[in-house]
Amino acid sequence: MTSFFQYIRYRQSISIFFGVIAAMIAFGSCKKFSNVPPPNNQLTTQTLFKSDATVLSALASLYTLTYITNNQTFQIDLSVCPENSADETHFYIANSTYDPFYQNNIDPANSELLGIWSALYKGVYVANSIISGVQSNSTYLTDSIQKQAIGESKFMRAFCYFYLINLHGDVPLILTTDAINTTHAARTSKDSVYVQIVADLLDAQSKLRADYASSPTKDRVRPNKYAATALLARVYLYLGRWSDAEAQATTVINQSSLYGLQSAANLRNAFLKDNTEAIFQMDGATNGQVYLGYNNLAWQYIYYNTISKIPWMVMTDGLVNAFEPGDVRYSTWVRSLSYAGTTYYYPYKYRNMNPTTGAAAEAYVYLRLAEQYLIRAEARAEQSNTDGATTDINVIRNRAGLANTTAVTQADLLLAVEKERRIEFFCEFGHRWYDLKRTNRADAVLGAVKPGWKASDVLYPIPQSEISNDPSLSQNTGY
Amino acid sequence: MQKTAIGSRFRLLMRGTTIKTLLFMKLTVLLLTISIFSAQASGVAQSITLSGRELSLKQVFSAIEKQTGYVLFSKRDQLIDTKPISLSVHEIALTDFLDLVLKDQPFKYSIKGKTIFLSRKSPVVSSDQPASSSPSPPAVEEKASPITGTVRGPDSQPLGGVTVVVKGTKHGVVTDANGRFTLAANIGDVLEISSIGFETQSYPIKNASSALTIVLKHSDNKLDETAVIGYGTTTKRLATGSVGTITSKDIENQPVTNVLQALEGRIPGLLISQTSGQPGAGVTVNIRATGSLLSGTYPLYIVDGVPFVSEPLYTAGGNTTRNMTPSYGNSPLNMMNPSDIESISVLKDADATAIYGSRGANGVILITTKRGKVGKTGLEVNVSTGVSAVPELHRVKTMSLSQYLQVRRTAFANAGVTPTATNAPDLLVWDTTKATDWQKVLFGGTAHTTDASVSISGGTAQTNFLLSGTYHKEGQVIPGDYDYQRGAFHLAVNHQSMDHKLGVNVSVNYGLDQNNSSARPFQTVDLGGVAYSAAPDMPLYDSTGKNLYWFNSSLLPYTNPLSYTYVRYTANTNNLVSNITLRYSPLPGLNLKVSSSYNRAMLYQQNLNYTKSYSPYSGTKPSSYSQENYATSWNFEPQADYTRSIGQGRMNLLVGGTLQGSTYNQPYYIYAGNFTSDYLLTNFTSGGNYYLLSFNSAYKYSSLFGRFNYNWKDKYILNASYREDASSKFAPDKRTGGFWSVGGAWIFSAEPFVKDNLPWMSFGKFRSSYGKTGNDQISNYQFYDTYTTSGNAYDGTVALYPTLAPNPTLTWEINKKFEVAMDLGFFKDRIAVSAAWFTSRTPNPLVSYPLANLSGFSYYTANMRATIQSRGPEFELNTQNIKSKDFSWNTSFNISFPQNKLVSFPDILRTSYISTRIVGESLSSIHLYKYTGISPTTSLPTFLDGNKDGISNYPQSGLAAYGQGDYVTVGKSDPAFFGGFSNTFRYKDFQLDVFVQFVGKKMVPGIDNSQYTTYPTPGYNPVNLSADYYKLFQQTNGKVATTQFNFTAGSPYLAQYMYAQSSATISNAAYARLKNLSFSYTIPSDWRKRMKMSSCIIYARAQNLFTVTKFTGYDPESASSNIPPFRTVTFGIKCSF
Repeated sequence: MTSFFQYIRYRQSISIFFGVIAAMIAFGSCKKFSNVPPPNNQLTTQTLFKSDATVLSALASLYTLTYITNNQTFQIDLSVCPENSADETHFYIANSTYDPFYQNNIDPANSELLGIWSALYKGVYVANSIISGVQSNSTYLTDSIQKQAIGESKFMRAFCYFYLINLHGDVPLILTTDAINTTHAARTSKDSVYVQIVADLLDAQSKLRADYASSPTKDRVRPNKYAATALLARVYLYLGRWSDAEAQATTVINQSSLYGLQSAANLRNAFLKDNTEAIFQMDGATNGQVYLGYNNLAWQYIYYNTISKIPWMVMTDGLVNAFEPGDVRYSTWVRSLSYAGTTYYYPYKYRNMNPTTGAAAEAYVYLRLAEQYLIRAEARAEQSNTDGATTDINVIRNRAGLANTTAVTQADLLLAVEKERRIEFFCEFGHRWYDLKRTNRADAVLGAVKPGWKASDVLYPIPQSEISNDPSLSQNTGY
Repeated sequence: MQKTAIGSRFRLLMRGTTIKTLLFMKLTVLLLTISIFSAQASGVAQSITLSGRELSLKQVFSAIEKQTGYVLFSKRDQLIDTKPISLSVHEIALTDFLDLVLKDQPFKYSIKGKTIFLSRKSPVVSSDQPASSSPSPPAVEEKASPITGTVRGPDSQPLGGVTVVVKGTKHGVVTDANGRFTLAANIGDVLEISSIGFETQSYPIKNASSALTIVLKHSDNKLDETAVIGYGTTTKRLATGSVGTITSKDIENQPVTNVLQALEGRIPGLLISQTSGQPGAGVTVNIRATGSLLSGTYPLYIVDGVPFVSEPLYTAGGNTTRNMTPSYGNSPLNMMNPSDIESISVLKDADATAIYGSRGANGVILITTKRGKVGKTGLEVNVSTGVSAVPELHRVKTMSLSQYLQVRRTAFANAGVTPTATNAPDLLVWDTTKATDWQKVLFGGTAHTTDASVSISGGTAQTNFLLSGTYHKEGQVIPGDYDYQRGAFHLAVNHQSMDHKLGVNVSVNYGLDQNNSSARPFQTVDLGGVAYSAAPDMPLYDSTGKNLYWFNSSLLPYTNPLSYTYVRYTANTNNLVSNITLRYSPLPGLNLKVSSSYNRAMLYQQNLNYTKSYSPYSGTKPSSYSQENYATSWNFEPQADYTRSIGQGRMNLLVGGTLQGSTYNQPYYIYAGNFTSDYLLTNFTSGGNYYLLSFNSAYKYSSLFGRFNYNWKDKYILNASYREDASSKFAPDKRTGGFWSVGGAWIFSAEPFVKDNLPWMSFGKFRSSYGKTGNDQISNYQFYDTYTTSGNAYDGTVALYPTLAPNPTLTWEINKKFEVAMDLGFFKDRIAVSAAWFTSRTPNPLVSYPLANLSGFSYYTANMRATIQSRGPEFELNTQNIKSKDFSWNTSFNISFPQNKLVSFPDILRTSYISTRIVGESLSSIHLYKYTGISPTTSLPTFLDGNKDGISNYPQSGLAAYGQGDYVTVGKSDPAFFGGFSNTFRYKDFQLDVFVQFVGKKMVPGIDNSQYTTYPTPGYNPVNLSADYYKLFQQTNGKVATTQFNFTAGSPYLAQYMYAQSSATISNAAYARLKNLSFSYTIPSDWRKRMKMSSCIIYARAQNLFTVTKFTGYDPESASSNIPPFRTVTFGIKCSF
């Protein structure tokens, strides 16, 4: 119909048209265009681990994580839950959150249970991420920063796993950052996890500095060589490796230029930031001028109901009665008030509830020197070194204004250590709960005071949502 | 062969590696530029050099074209029996050359423009022969001679793309960009000139020598109104896709702040709701029911070709940083001045939206601003003023003072507690004889609105412009000095070269608004919620009558409602949308275009809490918040479109590409507290403490698109489009994706069997489309493995923590849309009916998929194997009931029934959706306890034991459908149907528009539900309740009231708490609203002439005049306890000079 010449004419149009198409295709398939750099508050892992400064920033998140991911409840729950489960404290009235811990009848769907679990595994993730990031970018990083990063990460990984296995028993041992696949991980035996914890702490010990100079504020809010040693001493003690525990504890105790017990008159100072008794503390986070959040433990123990003024967490009668007369720890670390004819006792180790600006005077104490004495005392007692054990127990007793221990036999000394640990470390991140479990005394002690106590209660359940999201996970018996 | 070559080139390019492609791209553009320009350059020469033996005429004309650009126009087989030529010439003039070549041939020639016409050397038909009324027989073609002409529109702008055919033949052409055409036709032939949106004209050819000028009239048939679609225009008659359009006529009649409000009820399938009556409040927009679980459900907004931010600026770009969100939300479209808008198109189905590829799933809203008018420079002034108030019928009836006191006293008695001055100031301290109507105090005021706009427009067909400026001010109904102000200016300039080959359009819209209100950032309700719940005897002022009354108790939630007047919230917005489009039309039917645009929207918010906004007993010192957000977007779109006739049809091809870059910034969000003085509030460093949060993100997008449209005799229309997108939201290997659609229409009324047998059927079209679009509305960077910071520091070091579990396999939500529709017109289209049925499926919705926390994260974003579907019919009816010279009456009606459903979700039990969604049900299902009446034994409310475990569980742990808890489905918030009904009456110079909007059976929690999740139990606190609650109080013999906080089973507290979360609080939010009433009078022309005006209209307009509903809350539209929409009445005058 159309002539050839018209066709030629159209061909010109068409060739331009298709020329345009060709250009467009070239243009459209320019995939590089749609690459965008990450936003200015994000760094890709490739970039992050190529600079000392950003590695240090990532490292800081090991300690702030508890603030960011768990609505600031981590510090509370890591202390309050196990102490409720043991015979230390309970919530002042019936409370659906903490009562199940106190009654040793925990619903696997309990939100606090999931909170602690998640925060600890978040710590594991960050530690894994930093370790692998630093190791694969070693050529870009200063040697000292690498050591610090890997040392602190391994310390914190061990720290997190220590609490995970002592709360839940066997837990998945995760050492990679592939979240989408590790979500299907199965449980690893407690022993294997302990092997990893020991290896991590030994490596941390070899990499971390002996002083606190890697902390920009020079405070004891970063783990150092002796923090790793102190935690290792605790781990060996839990594992029953008595001589190892003794050796590690001795190493820490011998650092007298760095560490020293507070005097009886200054017992309150043991919870102040950077005091000589502290080996490893955690601080609150800040944003600009604002100190983020209160001292959560002070808040939890001292904040009271508006009407009755009763604190949220009150000490059990058993704990209050366990104090010997004249114990300075009682007069310094315990407070009480009366309401409607009842006297309520509450812990008063942390008391600076509401620091508004700058750094808080208090910091959460996770490792302090007193524990090393009692670790060594127990390790020595177990090795039948009763004299050594007695000496170490008396250091702690005398410091609290008490006379020497009357225990003589190995068995009595072990009970004396147990009691001293109960008094010294009440409401400090669950020592009592772990002590009763590891010495197999939970049934005897808690069975006597807790109605409905079952042997299987020594392990917390695996959080329900974890089991539904990870079909490879099994639940602990009794749940 | 040609096709194959192109195909292989296509594939070759597609395969190219990135670097090579980049190089290739540059090279191709270069080559393309050279080829275009060289084609033009060679066209300048008018002399020929040619030598050869036995050349065919084809070869000769081909050489001519190559050397001079002159083309031959002839019938295809005209040159078949011609003699070969041998010649050798050097640079001889074209005409001499043609004389030489055609000397021995049976042809003569003529040249028009750059076209050479050949005609047989046969006797010429005398020019005075009368035009034959019957179609010419085909044999006459032999005598055809070239006819040239120009087609222009009513504004004398040349019209390109107009079809010109010789009536009764298959012979036709399409006008070029200059409106010119050349066509071989005979004297006596009748030309039929037709184009979209214009009345088809017949033009008999009376004489061959002169160039014709044909002026087309705009069609007044609604079917032929131009509708803007993606990268082009169409009409309702020829559209293959589903497009709803509203024009400035409808927008102007409505005194609204946000242009989206003017769309309410106007377009089938488009559901719009205001979140609050306050000026500047948010607007939710939903096109054909939500089809997404996680990702945004915002439609894509395009303003003059520029993608516009679709969500509030403070959340744009995935901003989840803590920020100031006003209690009533925010709509970015507030920044567009409604009177600058020429038309809004709502694209709904695959055919219309697939050209927007990965962003079209939620529909597309195209906003086109006004353009200049050709002609005498004119000035238009429009001024109006009015008043607004919350209508009485929107009030919620609360308990009277005596009922309130009775409930409170009973609550104390039931709990066995003695009221004291501390726990019951409302009973013992306040004056129990004086009641305050809080709704009247807090939003019973009258607001004044003022609008003024001036525009100047004029120019020639070559260059024309429009410049307008507007000012809008709207007062508030709440106490205090609050208002909303907006100023905007709009400039549009069009220019084209003398030969119409080159054109440039520029449009600039700039608007700024300032909203002073009591928006209460960080609150979910505005003052409406306070007005509802304040105790009726609560005093406002202390005994001096000057200071706000406060009550000292840490036991009771107590805030003096007027303390909000000591909170100063200000939002300032600036918005620039600018676009430049360059067009070059090198050849007839071919347009090359480059559109580039820039959009910058900025929002600055400040919230100052003065000392008096706090209780003096709290000791809280003044504080302030301040935040800035801006979104910047640029866009570059080269396009080419080509139109030509093929056979008796018209083909249009479009190809184009898009490069888009957007950045979203929040340079700061600053909180500063503990100020020592109110005067220092704006200086953050004067605060006792302060901190700062910031955010930024970027988005880039590139794509390639093409569309093929073939219209055969306006009878069969095929439309196919394809788009390939790359979005930075996905990992590089998941980045590109193809989206496509095919749509077809059959205008069966054009078939003889309809024309002959059904003369009353003036129009009948069946259309259908199917295609695939996408949705990429997720936060940026979800695939990146990054560390992020919130500014929190530990041990003196700002912490960077892992952001999210990166998902490198993340990709678009795919949305497959299918539609069938029928459009019918009867009695010369005086009755027009449309019915459409659509279905759309999302087979891979983006969801937040849970991870075991042991992995380090609790969820990741993933495309899930689940299916979401939305479907339903839509109907539209337009009638011209009466059409006479003096009186006319038009009616339009539309109704839609879109419903969505979660069709399948195999893994739902493992996700958090288990507590919110049920497979097989609507995505908007409401799950609550099922109220089963008052127990005769306890006199307390009882509830269905949904999971049959023997008790009505509390705390609620999930849905009965999954055996988790006792929540059952008690309704759904999406309406069963919605629509609008509009009537326009015109009598001589008077016009009346009446528009009713209706929404059917929207079951939503009434106001009580929102109240009780905050303040449980009647009498528990000094808080008032709805009058309905008093009935419950009576039914339970007062037992439900208590001041005792007790969650144990059987306690009144728990019973009431569950009641508040039960079906008892569900209210039917169906409503019909007289949305708009507009009356105007056009001043007669003799008066106008005296005042030298070309037009002058006086008008009165009213918005939200009347509502019929059974809803128990303030307003069924927002269905919240926010301040209800205002009733606004304005008067104004609009004159042109």
